[in-house]
Amino acid sequence: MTLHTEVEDRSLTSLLCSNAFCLELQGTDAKSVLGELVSGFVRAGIISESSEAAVLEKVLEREQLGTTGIGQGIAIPHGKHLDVTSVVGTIGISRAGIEFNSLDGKPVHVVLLLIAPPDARVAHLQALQAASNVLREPLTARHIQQSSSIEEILETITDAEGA
Amino acid sequence: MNTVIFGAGTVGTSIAGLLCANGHSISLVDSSASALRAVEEQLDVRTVRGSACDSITLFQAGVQSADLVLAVTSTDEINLVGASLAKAMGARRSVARAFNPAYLDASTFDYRRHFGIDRLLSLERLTALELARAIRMPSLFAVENFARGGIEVQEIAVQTGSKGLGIPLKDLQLPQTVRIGLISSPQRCVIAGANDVIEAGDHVTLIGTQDVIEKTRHDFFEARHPPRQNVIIAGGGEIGFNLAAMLQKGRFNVILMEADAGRCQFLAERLHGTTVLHADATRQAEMQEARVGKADVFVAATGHDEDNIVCGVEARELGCERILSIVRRPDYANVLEKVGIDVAVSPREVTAREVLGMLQGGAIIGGSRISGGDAEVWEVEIDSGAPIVGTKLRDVALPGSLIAAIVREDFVKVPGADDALRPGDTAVVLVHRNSIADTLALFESR
Repeated sequence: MTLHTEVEDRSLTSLLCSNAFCLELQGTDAKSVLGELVSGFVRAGIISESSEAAVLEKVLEREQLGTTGIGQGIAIPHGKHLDVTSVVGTIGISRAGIEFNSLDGKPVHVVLLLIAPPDARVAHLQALQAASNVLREPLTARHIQQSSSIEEILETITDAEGA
Repeated sequence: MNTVIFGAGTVGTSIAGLLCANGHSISLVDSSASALRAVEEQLDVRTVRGSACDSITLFQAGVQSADLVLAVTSTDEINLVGASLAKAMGARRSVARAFNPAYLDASTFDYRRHFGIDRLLSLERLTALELARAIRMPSLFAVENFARGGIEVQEIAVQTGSKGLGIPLKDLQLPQTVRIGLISSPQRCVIAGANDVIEAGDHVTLIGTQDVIEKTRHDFFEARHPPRQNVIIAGGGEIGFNLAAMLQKGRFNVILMEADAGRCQFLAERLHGTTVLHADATRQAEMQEARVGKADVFVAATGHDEDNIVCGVEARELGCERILSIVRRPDYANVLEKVGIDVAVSPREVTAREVLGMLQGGAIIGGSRISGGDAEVWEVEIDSGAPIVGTKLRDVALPGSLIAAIVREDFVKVPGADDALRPGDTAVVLVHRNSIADTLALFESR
């Protein structure tokens, strides 16, 4: 079984909204950090202000089913909402670390939030796959964590996907 | 490579141990916290607690970026669903263990395809295949199985006085479903061509389905037929049943001992070339009655290691020359040798080897060396991007290699010059060691 045709460019780079990135997350728990990231989408004009609360709620609901903190300082929270027309992603970085109830118990430093339209089943899976592929490399994750600019993050991810 | 294993039982744990030792990164999923804790104490693996049918758990285990997912819980249905989900979520390869023969049989309904799983693995069939190989091995230099046992590769020494000597291969009129791969002698080692002639003493590699290979060997390359051998199998479970089915096609008289009357009925209805005996192999009197002492080979294949050891020793006492046994617990391996059991086959080891084969990178999904390393046989998965796809074999420039068999939709075909490979096929390819790189390039996706 193969997943294709629904989206053409399946890279993580293509769906990241760099103007929504949060290079210095303030929160120290999952809920507040996810709030910051969803606000980033609103600020960037990707999600309407009226939907902000609903999107956050969807993401938190998913988080309650089981953590998306997959270990090694990485979390890939995700949810679906009608307000987006294609899969969108943003990245947040925390120097201090976030309590995310991670599988390995360690604090999270890099959060990649994905929001997909409800009917984009295949694209959603592909985005999760692309995100996992990039972030499972400890070196890539560390480079992102230590980045001080949006350009640096994008370059690291582009390099990782090109490799 | 990233591997996710569902099921922290004996099979899952032993595969995890083996892969860890080979430097792979492993995530293990099980619903039992205590089972996971026990593994964590021994191995450096990531563990995720939850059901293998739960997408949240699978996400946490990282199936979406896994190179291989192995569903080896003790429940077939969980394995099928879990492996199917994992594949749909992005795992590159997904394999499920299935015990129930109904799931392995695709004649009425193809479960594997329906669930989108790359492969269904039967420990029982693999174990039976390994036992059959050990039983047949003494008269052969090598036997290898490919394409889930559908294709066999045998290396034989051609006997003086055989019918196939001195005639160019194109005039030999071999059956359609067998190929001569390699001809080797101290002077030469060549991939067989239509004009090659076989001499006495040459080693020849035959590739094809098992029954046709056996017949070809007898008809063309042996001057005298080897004597039929008597094989007694104790235990008519899935392994014993599969083993009897494999052996009865060859030059073996097979007797299968089974203690349960209902199961005997089942076996007798399905095994037409085997004598099914309603007898308990753990009782000495019944072993004597089955004339175990006169058998050439005795196989202890009951469901219990202890019973296998006991009846194996008994068979040896009664005078049987060659004793094979299944052992599930690794602790017993040591004892077996001491009590005179010649070959011990462990389902877990057999499976582990199979899994290691699946982890080879790229298009090759299995392989082995033959003829002392002069050549290799590969099992290759044909991807839609492979350069060879769609080209008639007569137009493929393949000096030093041979596409010996194609497996398509569970059917085995020995290809002719006008056949072409299609995406989704599995091909068995024989490669001379000088042509490895050139041949590989035909199969690797661009």
